[in-house]
Amino acid sequence: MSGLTLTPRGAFDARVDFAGVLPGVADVARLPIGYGGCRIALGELFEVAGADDGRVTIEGGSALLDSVGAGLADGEIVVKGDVGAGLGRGMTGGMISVKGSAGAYAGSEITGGKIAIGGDVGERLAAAGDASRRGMSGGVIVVGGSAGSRAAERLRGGVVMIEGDAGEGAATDLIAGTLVVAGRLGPNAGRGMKRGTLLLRSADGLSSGFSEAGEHDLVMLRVLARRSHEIATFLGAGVTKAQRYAGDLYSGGKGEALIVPR
Amino acid sequence: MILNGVEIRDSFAEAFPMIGTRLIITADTAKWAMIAAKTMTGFATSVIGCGCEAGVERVVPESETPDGRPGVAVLIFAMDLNGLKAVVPNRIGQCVLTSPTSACYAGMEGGDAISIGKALKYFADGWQISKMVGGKRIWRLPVMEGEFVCDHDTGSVSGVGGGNFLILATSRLEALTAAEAAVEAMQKVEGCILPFPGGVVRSGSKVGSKYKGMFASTNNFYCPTLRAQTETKLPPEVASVQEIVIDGVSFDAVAACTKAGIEAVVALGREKGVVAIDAGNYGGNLGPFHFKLREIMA
Amino acid sequence: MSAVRITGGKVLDPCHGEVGVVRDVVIKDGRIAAADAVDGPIETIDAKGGVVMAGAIDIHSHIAGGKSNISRLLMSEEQRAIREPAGEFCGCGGGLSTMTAHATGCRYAEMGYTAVFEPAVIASNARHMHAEMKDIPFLDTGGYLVLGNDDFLLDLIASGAGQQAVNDYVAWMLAATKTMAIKIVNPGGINAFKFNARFMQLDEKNPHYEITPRTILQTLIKAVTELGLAHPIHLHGCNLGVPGNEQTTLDTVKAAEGMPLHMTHVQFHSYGTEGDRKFSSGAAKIAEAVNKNPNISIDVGQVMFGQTVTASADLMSQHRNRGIASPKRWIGMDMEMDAACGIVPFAYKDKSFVNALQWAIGLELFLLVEDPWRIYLTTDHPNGAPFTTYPHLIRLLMDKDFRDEQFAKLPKSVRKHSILGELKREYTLEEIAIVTRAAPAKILGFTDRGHLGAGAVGDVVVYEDNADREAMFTTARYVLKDGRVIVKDGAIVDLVYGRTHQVKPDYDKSMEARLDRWFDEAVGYKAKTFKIADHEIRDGQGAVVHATARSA
Repeated sequence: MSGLTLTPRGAFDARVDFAGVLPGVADVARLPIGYGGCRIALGELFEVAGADDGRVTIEGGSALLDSVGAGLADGEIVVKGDVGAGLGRGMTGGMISVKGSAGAYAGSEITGGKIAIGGDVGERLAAAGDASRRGMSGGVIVVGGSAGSRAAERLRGGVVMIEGDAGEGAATDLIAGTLVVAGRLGPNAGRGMKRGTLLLRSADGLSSGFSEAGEHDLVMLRVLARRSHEIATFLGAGVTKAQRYAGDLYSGGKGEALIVPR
Repeated sequence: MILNGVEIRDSFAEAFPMIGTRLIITADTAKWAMIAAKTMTGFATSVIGCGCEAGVERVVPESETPDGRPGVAVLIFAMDLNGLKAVVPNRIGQCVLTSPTSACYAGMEGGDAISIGKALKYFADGWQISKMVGGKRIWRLPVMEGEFVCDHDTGSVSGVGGGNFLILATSRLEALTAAEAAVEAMQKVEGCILPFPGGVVRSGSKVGSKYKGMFASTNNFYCPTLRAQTETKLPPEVASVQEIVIDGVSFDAVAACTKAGIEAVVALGREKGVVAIDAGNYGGNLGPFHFKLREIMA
Repeated sequence: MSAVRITGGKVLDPCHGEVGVVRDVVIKDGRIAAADAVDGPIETIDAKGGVVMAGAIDIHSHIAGGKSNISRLLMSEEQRAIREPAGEFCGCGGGLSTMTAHATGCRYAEMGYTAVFEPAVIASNARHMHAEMKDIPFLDTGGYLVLGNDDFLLDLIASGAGQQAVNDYVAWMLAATKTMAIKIVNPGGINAFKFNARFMQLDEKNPHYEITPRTILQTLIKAVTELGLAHPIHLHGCNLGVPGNEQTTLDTVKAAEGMPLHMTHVQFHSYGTEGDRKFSSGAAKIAEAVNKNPNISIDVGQVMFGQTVTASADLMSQHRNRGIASPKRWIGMDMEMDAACGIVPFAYKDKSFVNALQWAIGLELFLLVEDPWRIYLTTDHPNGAPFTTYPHLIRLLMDKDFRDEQFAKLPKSVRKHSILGELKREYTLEEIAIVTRAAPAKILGFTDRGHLGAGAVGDVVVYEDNADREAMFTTARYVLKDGRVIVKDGAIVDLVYGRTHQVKPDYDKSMEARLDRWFDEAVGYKAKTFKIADHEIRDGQGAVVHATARSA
């Protein structure tokens, strides 16, 4: 299965709006995409090869390549490089994998599907976009590198896994869902958190509205580990105990941070 | 039909549609998982008086349970969906939620959803926590011991209730011994439960009664002490009859279970005092499922 | 020199008694000229089979200013959901009930509107309004200055400073804010709200200044009459939305004492208290009063079903409605102590007894007021509905069968409480041309708008003569702005900007010193800062100043 392959004809001079370029779209070469302030045919920027079988591969990416996979419902998009802002924005299903890094608002407001990013991501991973009060509500995001500020802001469902560090203000106003940070947590994390779970290596970085509730053997961890490959990887074999912090108590929140040292 | 000296009568068990569900109950130890399972399936022998029929289906090994702890699968059947929706949360709430270290999970998918955590969460008085991971929602209810974890709901299936056979033997001990052998074999069949005490019912019933308001009464045609006073189905050498009732998730499951039980009884043979195998029915007009003994044993 | 000849269309120009007269309309240098006025080269537009009218005028539509912007912020999800489609001349902004400037111009122009007036400018927000108006393409605009709750005025009246002082103050404010008429919103009521009053009757004394709405209204009616403003007081009366306010409205008609008065969004002021729900239509009584009093004109403020946002300076009424906000959020705020602002998003539902009856009351008013020259087609955009519903409204007025069909969909209880089903009247095309063009121009004092006679501005619309009037008025075949084609076959084809209109009556210069002092003492910044300079209007183009009896 090779699918459709899009190879950039050269470096981009302006931001490229890739919204609408999805598996199953007819006549991709003539599909209008945003380029700077105007719209041009995709074929002018990319060489199109192969046939669409539900998989689109972008050979080589760019930090200027915005909204890749926005609204994806099924099928697969593979980017063999970096992408810009809004990766997978609003996607409902399917799979996106990016070998390089992604810009701001990666996975913003997705409701399903899976996004895997090999490198780092910019600010507001999985967060609520403009004019929205809710961020990602379902699906899975795995970031191989580190995330910028406000990762999982207003998250309300799904699992976000950051294998590296999270920037300042992670999980701000988080509504529900799970954020896993395997590296270091930036300052002021979880401020305004309503419900939801943070899985962390250390409590350093949690905002001051979190309060410790002791170490517990939680049956729930055993269940999550069996239902989420990402959480299982984070916990490691046989781990069933975690230090529980509740927060953000300053805003009446009932969220939790579970600390599982390596 | 005679097998190992035992007559297989030309009769059939008449069974009814029931709606059922499976739950997986786990605990820190196999012992406590079984205690929770037994408790929640207690007083559930017959829908007539208990509102549901329930029993332990099997022990579930750690490798198969949702939380990796020792588990027990139970099946619960009711006459209709609303009945099931009422008894399941009630029984879990009283018997599993309260049982040390327990957790309760869906044991089947599909069909109408039967609430577990969806109904029980209110016990936590606002402190309940829901987590949706891998497409399934679990609830965590803080309790004095720690947390009670359960799935949001479980599926349901249209099953079969009231499969049965009768063991006609030459003495009370021989009838019971044969019934025990049958139960042991039948418990190995998945998808079925034997809701009566130890899987055996000594007081099989007929429909109706001379008394108003009694839906069922003693099956005098099989009562050995009444053979001088009523019409009897018992040969002269039979002194005791035991019945085994089977509820299952499908016709095939009940048929397989029936077969396993009768085979175990037949293996004992006429030598061990088993005279005949019969089955309870109502003439075939009430229940849509007929388990014909001779076809099953053919 | 540029010239356009529109040929073959049926001209509908009620000002000149032309009803479907097939003649050429010639525009020369942006103004309508005699048919033989042009010898040189001329662009020809084929209007065969079409209906030719002057550009439509909306007398009351909240399109620019503080509350429009606050609405956009409050309903940011609407801005996100409804984006202006990309195009050569459009492509920025969006929204429907919270439409942004550029989109507002485009949507109006596509329907054939070329002049729209913002009916509620709070003085301290005038600068914002002008900045926003500059960004609205295609439309001539102007604002009506909100007075009647401002402390300086209330103090003048309460302290008995005299009509002359009030006139000077009003004139100073009009000049300073570059607005074209005076609007009163809940006279004295918004001020009383700040002193914890929650209702205000026409003859109830303000808890602080101890003057009544009637006094404020009559004083300001006198002021605009004596200053010689073309547009009478534009009144949003007391008790908006309160069941039983029909009596307030009837009393207000009497309070005008024969002087010109424009009563706005009267639908919201025509409620009785009959029936089981103590909510009924007062449309018949109000229409009768309007019919009997030629000094009164009204616009309707028709309600249409769907999501919108209500935005008003009437914080007293918005505060009352805050509980029924949908989605559940609202903003109420004071504006520089001189006025207020209340934003309450609202979804009018056809299954709601009150909303459905509001819809029926509006239509009853349209059909019962006999003189089309004194009633104007509005939805009080966005308060009753977005202005984009006008074509649907026009069809409701022109097509009884269609109207009855819609009426039949309402709950039975509503149909029992409304006489709409019995009203046989259907608006003619000519009457539509009057209520959307000729009459608004007249009540605003424009002699060069709303008609197609020589000298009028070259704002001309060609519609398909479609039996489905909703389709007909949704998109025009051609719209010309100052003689330039801006819409062709319903699509924007050129970008042209209109002008801003104001009045500037003269005032006694002693008022200048008084207000300098007032600003220093009470406001906290200089009066000269408050005043808007000519160069601030449309990038230095300035406003079109209309003559008044007391112009300098």
